[in-house]
This record gives sequence, C-alpha cells and structure tokens, in this order.
Amino acid sequence: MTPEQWHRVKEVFEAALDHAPEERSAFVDQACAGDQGLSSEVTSLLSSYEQEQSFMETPAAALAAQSLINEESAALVGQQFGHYQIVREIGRGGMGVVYLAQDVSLDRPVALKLLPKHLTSDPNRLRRFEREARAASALNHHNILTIYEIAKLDGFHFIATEFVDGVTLRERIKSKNLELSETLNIAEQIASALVAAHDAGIVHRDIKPENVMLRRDGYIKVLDFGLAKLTEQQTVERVNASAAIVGTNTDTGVMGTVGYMSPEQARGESVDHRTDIFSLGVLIYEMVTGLMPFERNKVADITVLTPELEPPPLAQYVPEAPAELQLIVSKALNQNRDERYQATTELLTDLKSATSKRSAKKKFTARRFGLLAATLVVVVCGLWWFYASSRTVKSSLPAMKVVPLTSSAGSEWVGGFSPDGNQIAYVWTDEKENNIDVYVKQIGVEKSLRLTSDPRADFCPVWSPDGQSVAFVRYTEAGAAIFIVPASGGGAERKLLTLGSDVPFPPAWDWSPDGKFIAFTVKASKDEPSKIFLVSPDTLARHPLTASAENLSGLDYVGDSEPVFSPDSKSVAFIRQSSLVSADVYIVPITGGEPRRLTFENTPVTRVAWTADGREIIFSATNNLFAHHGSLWRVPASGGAPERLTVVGYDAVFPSISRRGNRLAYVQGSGDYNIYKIEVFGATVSSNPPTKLIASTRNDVSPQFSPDGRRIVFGSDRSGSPEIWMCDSDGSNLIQVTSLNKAAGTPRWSPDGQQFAFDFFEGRRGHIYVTSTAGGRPRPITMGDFDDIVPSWSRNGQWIYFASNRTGVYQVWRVHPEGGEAVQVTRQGGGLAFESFDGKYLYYVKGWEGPTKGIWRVPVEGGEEIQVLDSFHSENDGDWAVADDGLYFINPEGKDGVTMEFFDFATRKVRQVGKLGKVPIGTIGITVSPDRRQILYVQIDNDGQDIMLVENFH
Amino acid sequence: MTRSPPNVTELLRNWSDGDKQAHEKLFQVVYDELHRQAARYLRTEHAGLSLQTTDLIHEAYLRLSNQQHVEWQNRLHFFAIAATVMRRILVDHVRERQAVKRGGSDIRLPLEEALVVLPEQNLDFVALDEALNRLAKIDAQQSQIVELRFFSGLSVEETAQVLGVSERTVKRDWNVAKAWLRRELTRSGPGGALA
Repeated sequence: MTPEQWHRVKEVFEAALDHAPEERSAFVDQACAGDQGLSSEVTSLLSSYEQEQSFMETPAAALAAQSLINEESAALVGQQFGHYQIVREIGRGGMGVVYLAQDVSLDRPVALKLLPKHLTSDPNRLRRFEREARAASALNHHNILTIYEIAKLDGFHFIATEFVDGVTLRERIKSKNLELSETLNIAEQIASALVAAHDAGIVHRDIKPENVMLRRDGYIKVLDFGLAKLTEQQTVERVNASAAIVGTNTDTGVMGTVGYMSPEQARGESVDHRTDIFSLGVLIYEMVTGLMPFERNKVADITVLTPELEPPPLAQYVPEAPAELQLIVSKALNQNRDERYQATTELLTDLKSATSKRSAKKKFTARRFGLLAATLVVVVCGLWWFYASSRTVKSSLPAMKVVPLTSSAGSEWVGGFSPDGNQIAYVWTDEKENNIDVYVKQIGVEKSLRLTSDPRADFCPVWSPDGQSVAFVRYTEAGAAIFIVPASGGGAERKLLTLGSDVPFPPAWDWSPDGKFIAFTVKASKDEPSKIFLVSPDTLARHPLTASAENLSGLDYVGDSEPVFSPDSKSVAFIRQSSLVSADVYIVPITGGEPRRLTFENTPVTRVAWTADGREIIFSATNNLFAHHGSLWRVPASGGAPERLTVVGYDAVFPSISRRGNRLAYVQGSGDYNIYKIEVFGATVSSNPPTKLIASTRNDVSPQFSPDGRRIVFGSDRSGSPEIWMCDSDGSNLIQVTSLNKAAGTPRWSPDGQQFAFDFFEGRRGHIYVTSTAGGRPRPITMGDFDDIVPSWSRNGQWIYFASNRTGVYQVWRVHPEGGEAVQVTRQGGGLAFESFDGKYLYYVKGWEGPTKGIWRVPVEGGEEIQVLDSFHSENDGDWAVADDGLYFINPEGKDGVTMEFFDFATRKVRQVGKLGKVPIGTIGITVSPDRRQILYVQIDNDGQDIMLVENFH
Repeated sequence: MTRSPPNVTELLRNWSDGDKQAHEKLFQVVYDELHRQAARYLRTEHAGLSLQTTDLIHEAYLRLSNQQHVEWQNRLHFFAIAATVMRRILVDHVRERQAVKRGGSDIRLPLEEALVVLPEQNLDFVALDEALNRLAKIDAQQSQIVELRFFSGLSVEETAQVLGVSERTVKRDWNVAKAWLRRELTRSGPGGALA
C-alpha cells in the first residue's frame, strides 16, 4: 500500500469512528463510492478495532512486570520458610513482596517481606540496613512498624514484622474521600513517627503512600525504615549536583520514588532528615488535592526539580483548604532544604495547631451526644416532632416575609404545596399526640381540613400531579403503601400502590410533577445501604435509581433517602448518608447514572427542595442534632458553595417550595434545653420542685459534677457551636473550656479533677479528646474511621472508657489517657460506661431494644456480665448515674409522668425520688453531687414546632 | 568501577543539530541505563500498580543529565529516543529468552519470564515489533506514536508534545494503528499470534 492509499484509508476509518457502530458500514459504503479495495481495507480495520478496544492500552513494561510478578508470587504461597508459613501475598512495597504468614512457633500472624536478591548481595549495605531498621523498630514508637526478625532462611533475606490489618495510604488516597481532618490526623501521626526517628538520627528516605499503613483502628504505621539503606550509594560514591551519577554501581540508582523525592535526593546528593520533611510535604499535598505537587506532564516538566518551580496552591483544587495547611505544605516543599522546616518537631507542632484551628472555617457542624442520638439521625424526621408546646417565631427580612401558617398544639410536618401554591398538605399529631393524620391548610384560611382519620399513622403527604388529591404513606400488613385521598376532603381513600416492607422509616417519597414516576427509598436488608427506587404508578414497574456508593462502606453507611424530583421531572435530588452523623445532597438524572455530589459538608441533612426554576436546591442541615438546630441553606444545583438562608432562623427543617416559586414552607421548632437541679436526700423522696440552674437561649446539656462537687462541666452551644463549658456548682463563674467550632460533648472529669475527656465530632466521625481544666489545646486520644463516643474515666485515672463501633457494633472500649492502643471491654454490645465507686465494676448500657436492654455490669478485671436494671428506658440511655449503693435514672414513663428514680443494689427495688418536667430523649446525661444532695438533669423548655411560610420567596 | 559520564545533554544537542553519530551514542547510553533500571523495576516494583514507564524514563533522564536546566527540545528528543529504546529492550529480551529456550538452557535471564507471554492479551512482542516495522514503512509517524504510547507509556497529551502534533491527531492515529496492528497480528502465523 502506498502512503497515499494509506492516508485515504485512515481518513475514511477515522470518519467512520465518528458514527455509531451500527451506522459505520453504511457510511463506509458511501464514503468509498465504489472503491472496493478501500472499502474492504477500512471494513477490516473497523472490525479489528471493534473487537478489542483494550488492545495495547496497557503499556508494554507494565504488562511485562505484571506477568513476572504474578508468577513469582504464586510460587511462594503455601511454602514454609523456617517457622513461617506463607499464607498469601498482601502487597508489594518499594523493595520486595510482602506476604501474610503465620509464625507457627509463636502462633501469630506476621507480615513477611522477602527482599530481592540483588538488593541483598552487598553485605555492608545489608548490615547498614539491618542496623537502621532495628534501631527504628527499637524506638518502640506506636507509629513505627515493629520488626520481629531480620534473617536469612533458605537463601532468602526477609523481614518479619507485625501484621498490620489495614490499608496503605495509597489505597486510602485512591478511595478519594479523605477529609481534611483525616489528612491532618494522618500527617500528624507520620510526623510523630519521623520526629522519633530523626531524634535517633534515622532518616527514612522513602516516605510515600505505599510506605504508610492505616490500621483499622486508626493508627498509622510507617513502614520500611532503613530499607533505603539497601539501595543507597556508598558515601564515597556520593556526588554533588554537578557530577554525574552514572555507572557507580549497577544496582544503585537515585534512591526514593520519583515524585516524593526531595530535590537534593533526586540529584543524588547526601540527604538528611529534611528530605523526609519534603516527602511528607508531597504526601500531605497529595492527600489534600489527590494530585502530586510537581507532577503535571512528565514530558514537559521533566525538570520538576528546578528550584523556581512552585506547586499550585492547595486552594486551587480544594477551596476550603485552610491557610495554615498551605503554609505548612509550602514550607515543607521548599526546594532549598535550608528554607524548609529545619526540625521535624516544628512541622508536627504546626500540623497540630492547624488541626485545632481549621474547624473555624467550616460552615456546618455535626453534633451528636451519644448512641441514641445517633440513631435519631436516621429517624430524625420521624421522632423529633413528637414533642409539643408553644413556639416562638424568629427573624424576618423586609424582602421575604416569614409568617406562621399553623400554630396548633401538637406538631406538624410539611408535606408540600398544592400545584397552585395556595394549599399545603401536612401531617399533625393532634393536640394529644395520639394519632398522626393528614391535613390540608388553605393559606389565609384559619381552619385546616382533615383528610384522614385512620387510627394508623399517616406520613409524608405529597400532592398528586393534577392537584386533585393528596397521597400519603401508611404502613399496612403488606408494608408501606401509598394511599390517595381527594384534596377537597370527604372522599374515600384508595390504595395507589404498595411500596413494600423494605421501606425504611421515615417513608419519605416524591411524585414527579409529570406524574410518571414515584421515587422512594428501599433498604433491602439491615446490612445494605438504602437506595432510591423509581416506580411507575401506571405500570407498577420499579427499578433502582441509585446503587451503593463504591467509596463508602461500613455498618453505619446508611445510604440514600429523601428523594425529591426536580421541577422538570428529569432529575432527583436525594440525601446520601455516609455515616450516622454525616450526609450530603446528591443529584441523579432519572435515567440513572452516577449521582453528582452537590454538597461536601458531612453533616446531618434532613430534606431537600428544588427552587421553581430548578436552579437551586434548598436543604436543611442540622448543625446541632440534639436540639434540632437545623437551618436552611441554598446551593446552586450546578454546584457551588452553600449559603445559609438567613431569612429563616435556626431550628428550620423540611423546606418545601411552591411551583411558582414564590412561597417556601418549612417547619420551625424551638427546643431549648436547660440544666435543672433537683434537691434530694440520698435516696429519699424529694418534695421540692426542680429549679433551673444553668440556662441560656440555646442548649445546655450533659452536666457532670467535679469529683469534689464544687464545679460543673457541661456541654452548650450557646457560643454557636457545641462546646464544653464549666461553672461553679451554683452556676456562677462560667468559663468556656473548648473553642473547637465543631461539636464537642459529653465531658467527663478525670478523678483528680484536672482534666476532662469528651467526644468531638468533626466530619464523619467522633473521637475521644482530653483537655486540661486549666485550658490549652485538647488532644485526641482515639482516632480512626469509626465513632468513639461518650467517654468516662476509671476511678484510678488509668483508663478512659468509651463506646466505639470499631468492630461494627457499639462496644465499650478503654484506652490510656495518654493514648495508645484501645482495648475492647465488652463483647456483646455496650456503651456509656461508668465505673462503680470502688472501681470494681463497670456499669454500662446495652441492648437498645429487646430483652437484653438495660443497664449491665461486668467486673473491671473481667468476668461474667450481668443485667442490673432491665426497666431502664433506652431512649434516655444517658440519663443515669452510679452511686455506691444504687443507680439514679430518669424514667420518662413513671407513674407520675417523668420521674427521677433510684434502683437500690441491696433490695433490687426501684423507688421514685422526684418528679421532673419534660426531658429530651438521647444521651443527655444526669449527675449526682458527691454529697448526694443534688441531681442535675436536662429539661426541655419551649419545645414544639409549627409550619412557617416565607412569602415573596426568591 | 567508575567511568567518565556520557554527556547526554551534549549528545542530544548534537543530535538535534543533525549529528548521526550522536544519535547512535545516545541510543547506547540510554539503552544501558534504561536496561539496568528496567531490570531493577521489574524485579522490585509492583508492576501492575505502580510501575510507570514514564517514571522509569524520567529517572533515567535525571541520572543521565547533569543539569537542572535542560532545554525543552532536548527533553522531547530524549523521550522520543527512550521510546525506541524501550521497544528494543523489551523485544530483545523476548528474543534472548527464545534463544535460550531453543538451546535448552536453564539460565534465568533477568526479564525472561516477564516478557515472553503476556497473559492478559497473549501479545507476541516479536510479531508486534515486525508489524510495527511494516507500519513504519507506510506511516512513520504512526509507528512512532505506537512506540511512545505503548512502549514508553506516554499519555496522548504527552505523545502530542513529543511529536509536535495535535492531541486529536495522536488519538486518531493511535486508533487506526491499533486496529491495523491487531489485524496484522491476528493474520500472522497459524491461528494467529493472538490466541
């Protein structure tokens, strides 16, 4: 074939590729216009092209290496080296393959790294490696991998180390949901390992994501200290920047990994600890942005190491990246090592300070005070409105006008506007909170119209697309079903369709404005995240619209819920809840596909609404869960930063917008939790009514008396975010202890009264922190991708107990107040632990429902657990306290209403010690003064919610 | 052992000035270096996951060039050469291995196992090499695109920069070249070189 002919073939071939495969043949016939040779050549190429598009897409060298490694690895599995039985390959580090092996003599799992022969051929280098590896391991630092043995067996040099159950940082970065808080946490731990190593004169030389393991419990382990010694050049062979480094030794090269190497290392110069600082800088940059600071195009930027080159600022990729972190990265990544951090401790200090400062910039806060509160998020829209009383209307702005739409006793729940925007369907609990039914309110008309009166509860009313009816969900024997009733009232109900028994509560759903689809939520099993489904009301054909997200996992990955159709019926906005306290808004076309994430706040989001033009999404985000302090936010549907809808005050949830767009309805509640004191005399009945001790317009919860009884620590969001506060026992001398601008709660004193432990929520996860009563920066005691909550100190001060879901279910764990490894205490579930006064028993709550629920105890030294109190109400799981002869607890359903009761260990009898007002559910907490004269608890003032209307909404 | 370093930058400059000998020297230097590094990488790095041919070439370049400021044109030339070299290295090894096999020797060559059979696609490097030579006769640029993309592992964008053509051209030529090569490999030999 001549080049000219070939050119013509290429032209037709390329043009054919622009056509759909089924149209190509016709196109080729036409384009070749009778030239048979051309036509058959192109057709044959097209057929070749269509058969296998992955052909040659993997570079040759990668294919080759892959093949080599697969063969080698397979050959070793099952073999025994000395006392190590190789189980399987678990990874490949920079210099060797790592296997999981069983140490048959000690019967423990180990990670076995086999060193390639060409690296171990030089005895001097091998010795230097061994010395350095052992020295690093001997530091006994919790962030440095422990080496068990370095030896030679059957001709193989190998290193046996502790087996780390976890993933490499490389894998973690790939999964793409690293939050800034986690990045900082990981960076801090690596820096901490490096500080220890550098202090001992050990330089790692190859810090990269493959050499950092994330253990499942959150600990970081830095691997392969000393390994760099194996490929290092002799000192005498080292050369400076102007000399060549070719040919000194066939096996040596530029040590380190391109991209993470410091410039001096890339140049083959001698390196010191500052090379590790540079590499850690690269790593932080990559964790934040997902990109390498100096990697752009390797062809164009091969001089990546030129001094004048500066990586793009973090904020270019991650707008919310804090300025402190940018400073840290810039300083660590300075091309000139004399301009970098000179001591690794400085870097560590800056990282720690960035951790404590960074939350100030975040707009949302997530909050949870404990286990039940966590469960509450899931059902937040189902439970919170069971409380009734009056309400107060807050703020308004001139342009948009907020008016109350309902103000009945009992609680209402917005169900949406009629298509003409003049009526709202809602559910109401009725005055006595007996029955939940659907009502319709004409705007401007005093009386509402009741549509349903079935004794079963009716939820989530939605107008039919034609505006003639209201549809709602009722749980029937066959599961959740949608019923429909004429909006004018008086008509018969009829069942539209059954959604099924796998519809989680609340059964939030929506009907597309064009009437073609109903979107609802399905949770197929307890272990599966919920998904959005579409069903056609005409054909009843249903199919899933969303699938479980690949980057999310864990037992508390709740899933997708709360679907709402866009005004054009083409998209569905919904909420994806990645953990119990963390959710964001996503949008997916009704034709399916990968949902687009719209918000990145990791905060409880309860409901979304589209603006009439479909350009914006309004959503309610709860920043203060225990008090339902949600507020409304607006975000462009195309993406962007959310802005708070300031015309609406706090405690606003369930937004709904009329089709014309001029009206926004929402539910406003105004719970105010205050700390009350009830006078008691030991376990005898108190005749005095409770009095308010600590109060603000916001929420004051979780009081704890100091061990000497003179001070009280408590949680309050009076400064805007949930923080720890402290005052004298009479409520005077108020001091704000923390200013973390996130969500700190359940503070607990150390026995010496010098420190507090508390749980702190930032992003998706809660962890235990400790801070001094004298102030100072709180320090994390636990970490990891799970929730550690509700701490309490052992009586001897040696342990902090806490509840954690790190095994998948909540268990009591304990950890030293200085940090270190957490130890699991309970095996059958448990949380909210307190030690008995004598320190012999641990009391805790377990079994949030069913026969095992109640307060249990287990000997601190280990032993059998026994159920102490089964009548305890798990809804109030935090409302109990241990005394030396019994337990105080709140009974929300006592014979005189809500009562404070005492369970006597000796007689095993319960008696009432006082009558209380309305108390919130959740892990709120009570405390008994050491002299047994006072009990502090939390009472709700001004709770209730009504539907509000924003007129002239825009 | 020490030896005087070849001045790659100098060689590159001479080559771009039309010095044929410089090209041969350069090829040899790059070949030696890449060969050594490829062997090291294939033995130690996790191939499928982290082996990047571009990293390898990049590293070779760092080692071979003594300067931090190298002209843009030289870098492009270097990548062009490296692509050809990578091809040679891989194909040579397959040939070596085949020779060893025929001789019944049990000597393990550094890369032998890796390079003979690529289990994913059963791609025969030698047949590919020959087909590529035929392609070069009809369309030299296309053959070069294959070298850069497949043997050097460059992206479309990077390939376009090295060759000084548009990305669109690279994409199109790459598609047609793959189709052509695949067909050639299927045709060659009994049952084809492709299983």
